[in-house]
Amino acid sequence: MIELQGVTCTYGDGDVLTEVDLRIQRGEAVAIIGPNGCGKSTLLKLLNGIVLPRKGRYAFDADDITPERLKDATFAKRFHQRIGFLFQNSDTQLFCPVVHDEIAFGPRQMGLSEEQVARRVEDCIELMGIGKLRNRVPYHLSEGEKRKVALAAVLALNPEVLVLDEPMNGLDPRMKHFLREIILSLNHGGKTILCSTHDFRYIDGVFRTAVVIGEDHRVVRVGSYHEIINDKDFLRAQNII
Amino acid sequence: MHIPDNYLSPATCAVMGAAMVPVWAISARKAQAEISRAKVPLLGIGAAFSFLIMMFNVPLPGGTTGHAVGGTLIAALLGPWAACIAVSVALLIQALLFGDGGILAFGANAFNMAFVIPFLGYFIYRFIKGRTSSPRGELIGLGVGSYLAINMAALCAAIEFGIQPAIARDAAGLPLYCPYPLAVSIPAMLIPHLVVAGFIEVFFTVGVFAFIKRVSPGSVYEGARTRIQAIYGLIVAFVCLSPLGLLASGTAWGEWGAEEIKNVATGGKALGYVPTGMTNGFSLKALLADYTVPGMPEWTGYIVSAVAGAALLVIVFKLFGLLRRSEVETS
Amino acid sequence: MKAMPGWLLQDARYQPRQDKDAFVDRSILRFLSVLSKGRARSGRIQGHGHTEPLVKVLSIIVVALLVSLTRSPAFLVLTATGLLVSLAFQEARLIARVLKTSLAVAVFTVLILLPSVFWGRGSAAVMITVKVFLSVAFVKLVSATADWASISGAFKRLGAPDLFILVFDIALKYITLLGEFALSMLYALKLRSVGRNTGKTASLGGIAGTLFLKSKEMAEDMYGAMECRGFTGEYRAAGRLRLRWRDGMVCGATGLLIALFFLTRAR
Repeated sequence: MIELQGVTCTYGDGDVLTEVDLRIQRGEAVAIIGPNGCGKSTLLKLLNGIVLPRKGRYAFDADDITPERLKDATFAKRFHQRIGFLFQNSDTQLFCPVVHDEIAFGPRQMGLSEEQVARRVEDCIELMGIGKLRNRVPYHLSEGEKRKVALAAVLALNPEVLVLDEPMNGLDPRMKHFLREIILSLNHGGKTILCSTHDFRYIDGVFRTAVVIGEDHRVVRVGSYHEIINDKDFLRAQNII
Repeated sequence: MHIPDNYLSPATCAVMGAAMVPVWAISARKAQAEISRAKVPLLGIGAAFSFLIMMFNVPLPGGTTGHAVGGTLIAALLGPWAACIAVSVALLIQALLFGDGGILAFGANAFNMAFVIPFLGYFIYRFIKGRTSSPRGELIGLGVGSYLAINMAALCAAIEFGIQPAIARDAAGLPLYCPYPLAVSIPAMLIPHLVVAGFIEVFFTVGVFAFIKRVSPGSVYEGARTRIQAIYGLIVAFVCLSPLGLLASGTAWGEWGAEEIKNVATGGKALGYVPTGMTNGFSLKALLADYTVPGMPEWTGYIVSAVAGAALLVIVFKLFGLLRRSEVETS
Repeated sequence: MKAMPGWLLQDARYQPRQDKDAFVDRSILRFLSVLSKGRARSGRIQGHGHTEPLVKVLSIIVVALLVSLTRSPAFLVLTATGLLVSLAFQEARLIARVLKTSLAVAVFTVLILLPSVFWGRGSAAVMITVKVFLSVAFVKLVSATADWASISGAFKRLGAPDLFILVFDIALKYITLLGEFALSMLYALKLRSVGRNTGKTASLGGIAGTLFLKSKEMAEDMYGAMECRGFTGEYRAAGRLRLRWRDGMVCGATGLLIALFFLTRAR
């Protein structure tokens, strides 16, 4: 589904990702782990086509994602529909005046009929349990509510791959449990999940694979999530715990 | 709209800068007195906001884009005094750190964009808002205000350009700065603003304001009632000033020989001042070629542009009303 | 485990429709260029090779004024030479940046002045174009080498009110902060623009509107934080003048230009 070969990204003067190789199969659930500033967010942005590699190759389901390819608007739009991104700061992801419009934004663009749009919106609202927020203003919601609305808006596009950037950040324990359940359900429903996090307690049992990025911006280990997370010496050496 | 250096004579720049000094002084005092809670930070962050909204590309029907100045918007959000300071600081940062707009011309740019736009735009907006009680009336007021304000600013810039050949020539009679008289500079500036830039301003201003009004109505500046008198005063002053501009153009005309005017008419076909943000995707030449009627004296072109401008205004208002109505229906 | 709606379990067979939404990409590019400049030029330590900002700002105003006032082509040639010399000391990327902007403005000026050439004002048009190019190039050169944070120090030494300096400093800082926020929102809009957007102005209004609300919130927080630290409305900008040999060179070069200006005028 996703393949990175020798991908290097630079930002200003220094590297933020160095020679990253990564292969993710359809339906996998992968955790991206690493200390602050190691390039986790950049990697996730790269997967969504917001950041482009300086060197190396990124292939999404046999399509090479290159600047030239993304200039083709139809290709780019299809690509963005297939891979959804939950931003770290939900504030930046919400720009509609009402929650309902926010969720309907994507489906409306896809040329679905109004009934289909309405159904998708209602399904997403029910899935996230945000019925009460339907006519509220996203800007004034709490952090947890904003996260739910943003996820609902992404899911409404029905992406095949879901990329989550630190989704547990700033949430209360109840909300973290809720989000864990949703991620599990989505993965069981066939969605490929990629998630950066350091909130290990709440994501137990969600991921099979972990990718560890070191402070030198390189992938230092890829393997079973369970094994890696229990290798305390390794995690300590990588400044993760 | 950002005038670079050497288009205006240093003397003009000095006069414009001097004219801004009292405006800044009064604005700083008024803004501090008015913005009660978050005083100083709001001015600074307002300046950052003003700078950033000039970075947005605004979509126009047909796929064209351009960027707005946003002076009227900031005046409606923060009040005209704070807007004057905010836009001035944004312009200063652009001139000093980005080379966008001249350093000597900073006073002139501030006059056009940080004084004329926020104050005129705001007062027209308040004037219309005071006459209607509906939220739509408020938005229409804002649209009309932003449209007229940016065009007034363009007219001011055009006058600044147009007086250059009259006031600054070398011994051989050659112009030292902008070589075009008012008869050329006014239509060259006004036509693109009336046709395109004005609408970019309207779309952006109304779009952003409508969102904020809906989402967080309490964040919008509420002007004091007492200032309504001053609004009338300023509008009257501006109305009086605009014929002055025409008058000035008449005298500057007089200085040009008949031969020269003929040349202006033919040369004017290809001439145009394109505001920096509007160079992409917009052909000024085609517009101006239609504007100058070959074989006819230059002044007819002027009258034609005035008539076209007035007609355009009417059309704008009608289309605008239509647009608002359909937006209300769909939402 | 949550029950998923049926459509969410199937892969979408979706063919996007055409749309003219270049404004999103263009806005993103403009924000990126501003932010990259801000990032590259802030937080630098005033090291050995740096010129005092006050000297820079003053000399750039003097140069702009002289270039604008002169009627002598000879002076312009001399100034251009001075520009080339100063540019030659800079690194290649910076030179390219300076020339890119100034040449673009010069070409733009040529286009504007072209009609005046036809009515016998060719020499004036050339003079004006060269002047425009020189002014923009000098300003770009100064702005490209200046540390953003130190510019306000120059104002302080020029005797600008402390309040103005505070506003200027806050504005600079928040251009970067709010700019990053706006950029994220534009990306979010882009990622969810998977088809035809019928409400482009509304989307843009939402982004800029949210940016304003965020600005206002930040301003209130900042005022609160300043009050907590004892801010009463008075602000004293700190800064002291430290002149080095480099500053002396810049002053000397500016002085030389002033002398040349009068020499070329007398002739």
